[in-house]
Amino acid sequence: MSLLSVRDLSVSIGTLCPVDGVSFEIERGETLALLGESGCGKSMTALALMRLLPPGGSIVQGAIHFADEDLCCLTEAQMRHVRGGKLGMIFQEPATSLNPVMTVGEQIAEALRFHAGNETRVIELLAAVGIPDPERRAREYPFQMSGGMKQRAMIAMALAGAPELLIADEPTTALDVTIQAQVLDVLDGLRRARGMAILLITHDLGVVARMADQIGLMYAGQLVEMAPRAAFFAAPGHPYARRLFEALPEMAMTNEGQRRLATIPGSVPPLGTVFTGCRFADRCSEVLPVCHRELPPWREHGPAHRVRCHLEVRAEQSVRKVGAGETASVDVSAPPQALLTVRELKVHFPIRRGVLQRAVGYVRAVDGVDLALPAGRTLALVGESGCGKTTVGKAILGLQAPTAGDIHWQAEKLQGLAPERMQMVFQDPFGSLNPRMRICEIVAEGRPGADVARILEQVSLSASMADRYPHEFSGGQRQRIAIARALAVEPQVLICDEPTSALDVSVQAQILNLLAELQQTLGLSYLFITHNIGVVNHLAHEVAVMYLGRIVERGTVDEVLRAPRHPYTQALLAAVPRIDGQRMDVKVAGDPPSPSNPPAGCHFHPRCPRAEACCREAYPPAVSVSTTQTVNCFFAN
Amino acid sequence: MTSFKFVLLWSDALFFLLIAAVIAGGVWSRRQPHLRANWRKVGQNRVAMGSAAVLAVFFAIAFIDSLHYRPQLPNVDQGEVRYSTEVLSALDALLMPMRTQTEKTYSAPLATHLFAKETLDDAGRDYPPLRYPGTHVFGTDKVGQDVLYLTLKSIRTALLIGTLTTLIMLPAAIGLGLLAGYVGGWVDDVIQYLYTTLNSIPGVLLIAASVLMMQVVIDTHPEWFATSAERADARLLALCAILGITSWTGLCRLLRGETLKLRELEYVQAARALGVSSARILWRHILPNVMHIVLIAMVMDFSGLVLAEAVLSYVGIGVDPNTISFGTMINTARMELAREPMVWWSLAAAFIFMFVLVLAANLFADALRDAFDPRASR
Repeated sequence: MSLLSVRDLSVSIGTLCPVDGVSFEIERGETLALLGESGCGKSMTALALMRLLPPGGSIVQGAIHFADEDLCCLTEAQMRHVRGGKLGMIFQEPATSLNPVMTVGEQIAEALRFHAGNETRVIELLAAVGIPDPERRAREYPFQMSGGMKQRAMIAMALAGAPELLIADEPTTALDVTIQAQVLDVLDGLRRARGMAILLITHDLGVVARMADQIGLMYAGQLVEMAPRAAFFAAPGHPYARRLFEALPEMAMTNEGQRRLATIPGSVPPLGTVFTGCRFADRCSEVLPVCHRELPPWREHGPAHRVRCHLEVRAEQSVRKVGAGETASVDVSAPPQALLTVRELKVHFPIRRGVLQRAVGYVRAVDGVDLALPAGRTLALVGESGCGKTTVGKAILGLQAPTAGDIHWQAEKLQGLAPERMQMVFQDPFGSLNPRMRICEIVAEGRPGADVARILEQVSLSASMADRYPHEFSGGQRQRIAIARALAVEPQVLICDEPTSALDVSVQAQILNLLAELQQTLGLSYLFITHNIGVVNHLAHEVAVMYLGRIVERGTVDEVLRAPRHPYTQALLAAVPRIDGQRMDVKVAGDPPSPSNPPAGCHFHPRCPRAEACCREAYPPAVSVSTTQTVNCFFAN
Repeated sequence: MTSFKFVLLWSDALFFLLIAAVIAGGVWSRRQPHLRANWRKVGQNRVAMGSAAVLAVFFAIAFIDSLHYRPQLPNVDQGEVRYSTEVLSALDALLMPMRTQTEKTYSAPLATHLFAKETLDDAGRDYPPLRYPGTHVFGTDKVGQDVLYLTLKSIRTALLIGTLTTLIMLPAAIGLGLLAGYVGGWVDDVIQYLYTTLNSIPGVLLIAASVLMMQVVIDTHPEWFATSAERADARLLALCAILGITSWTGLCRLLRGETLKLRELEYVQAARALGVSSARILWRHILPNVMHIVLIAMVMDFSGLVLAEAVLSYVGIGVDPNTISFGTMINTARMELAREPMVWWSLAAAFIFMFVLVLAANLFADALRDAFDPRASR
């Protein structure tokens, strides 16, 4: 008998039905990944298992059997012993899941007291999740720990009740890739060591490929495909799964020369949509007349591989090559004259203390960055959170006054804002549009009297949307509006600050395609700030890798991504979970140091596997490996 | 036919100006198609329209009560035309019977006899019959004035104190709050210093000191005022100003905090990147997004100010004793409640009218906020 068996589970919140007839099973020691885009009902399924549905939510039908108990029949008092006991859960945001006024040790001890009856195992649990120096860390408060540490402490707390099943809801989404790799390793190690099953909820195909044994793909509240990992990645059965793969920028990386990603038109239907037939039918490129009428039955697609689709798909057909994309002319000739040059840019924020607010130190957010952005090209600035990449963007734009350094536009020195030359596209499509302004007002903000209809068409939106308010649009449409607003002043350079990281994979592909098209038709240059290596590979011509306020490696995409020379770049690339499941051995330990107190010598040496004495003493000079690639490392050659 | 001389008090002028501004704003927003859609939403809300009707009645009464005049005195010596020193309003003329049909002292609502026994000439001690039995809906007060008349007259005072004070306070609160939050630096320091200092002085003390100073000024310049009504009016306006100056700090602090948050939002950053000027960012991005706070604070302050007037009148530093207001009514009710048997109707009348006014204002403000928030549309 399986550890957890969910049969025909449906959840309703008021009139909405976020989970509709979901059935799956998890064996002991197995990882099941529930995969899907936002709003697909993954988290709601997990909350239903814990019986922690939001107010007004209830399980309307179905049965949940966990370790021979029917969870739906337990009283609330009995449920409290199951939660955090045999059934543990960790959440996405480690920063808000820990109580800020209790030490980490006390919080774990509290869980132990309730579920195990003694509190002696705090240190043991912290050590089990790989926290160094657990005795000291147990006495620390959450704010003294980094995000990765906090997530490990959360895992330690979930382990207090010796769970047989751990529900992990997007456990690494808020973390950087190198930290994500560490946390995933901890989870996988614990699963092996304790024979614990994991229900992993994620939207990241890379994480699924790294962790899962079984995969359940969800769409609009229903499971549409169930498969073992190997079968799913080799031959996804549902059209939605196949389109998701094609929309990944990482997939385009394997198809050399393809600059256009396959996209899924539209977005995930909102909660409350009434469906007849297949829920994906409206966005499906292989839709049949029957799809709109009848809910597709489960079909055997292979051993233990089931797909909910009317379409009979043969395995060899299923991996369709990315189609009909035009091959972009990535010119490998010498890069043209730089449009924008940044020299020795520094942005230091003073740390003020005391009554007189005297500066006692500086956060060196940006500490000497050189960049050159040629016309019509894309330069990607890659780095983990806190490395100063957004500050570089804001300083170049003029939103942040630099402490030192020059920014030149061709031969002219720039001071302050240059709105008609450079514009910015922000990360959060929900925060970047004023909710009280209509679209026409937003787009025409930079240039009153601009031809809003034409600009909206440029970003593939209809001119009829001009009189509506931002809240009526989905994340992808909002990001198009933000791009339209920037385009209205006809800039030559767009600084894109993680423009797709808040979007679902299928929508991300639409935005990346739009940016590529705009570059071709308008000759725009992009400074693309991101942590997503797949996006970099797809869109960028050149890459600069940033670590703790400085650029450690730069070069063309091929050089930096295929033949990285700096140990940090190598570690960063290795940490990205790959959908082919391959893993590289370069591991990086620890957390990035604070920019207010950077390590002496090479900033990376405390985490670097190759560090030697010289790395501790001096910052390595830039070494040219080729005409375009330079590396700040003593061992570049 | 008796002629009269039209009198425009300062508070009347301000009140007319306010009503004109509201009407002009209404006409302007009717011309804007997207705003008209929002107003239609207000129109479809039953509670909103109900409370708007109630508010309209209150404002109409206050408006009629603001049309002041001095009646002509009967021509005694065929000489020049002379006018009474008593300033009356159109409401007084409308309610002439209610105003003039006074009793001797307390009588219960719709009573036929006085409230207390008196020694009558012929029949020992008994309840004397009223001069106008059954006409006083809310009874009469100590000097036999009709309580309903007093309540209706109080409406103007309450609305003036509620609206004028808010109008004096709003520009300071919004302007300084947004400036402190958006500009930061030494501007923020100065503004924070200012409101912290103001806040640290006990409110009643500050108001008492200012009112007494103002009273001394008024008393030493009797030549400024032609009639006692003008003097009472000056005192009312001064009270509004003083209340306004001392009550902007709370809203200002709220707005500063909210602006600090909004300033870092990406749409403000985007506007800065587009080269939009700071004034325009404050006007188009920050102000509309703090309007819900302003609206809530305005309505809360409105109720608070009407009550503050009562408290101040109780301490003796409120409106002029001749001015009829809810405050003075509640103040006298204090003594009446201590009587045995209790005289409850003046307090009840003041309470019912204040309650209806404040409730209607709250409900209407709620409906407005919902209708004008684009995110709240269904």
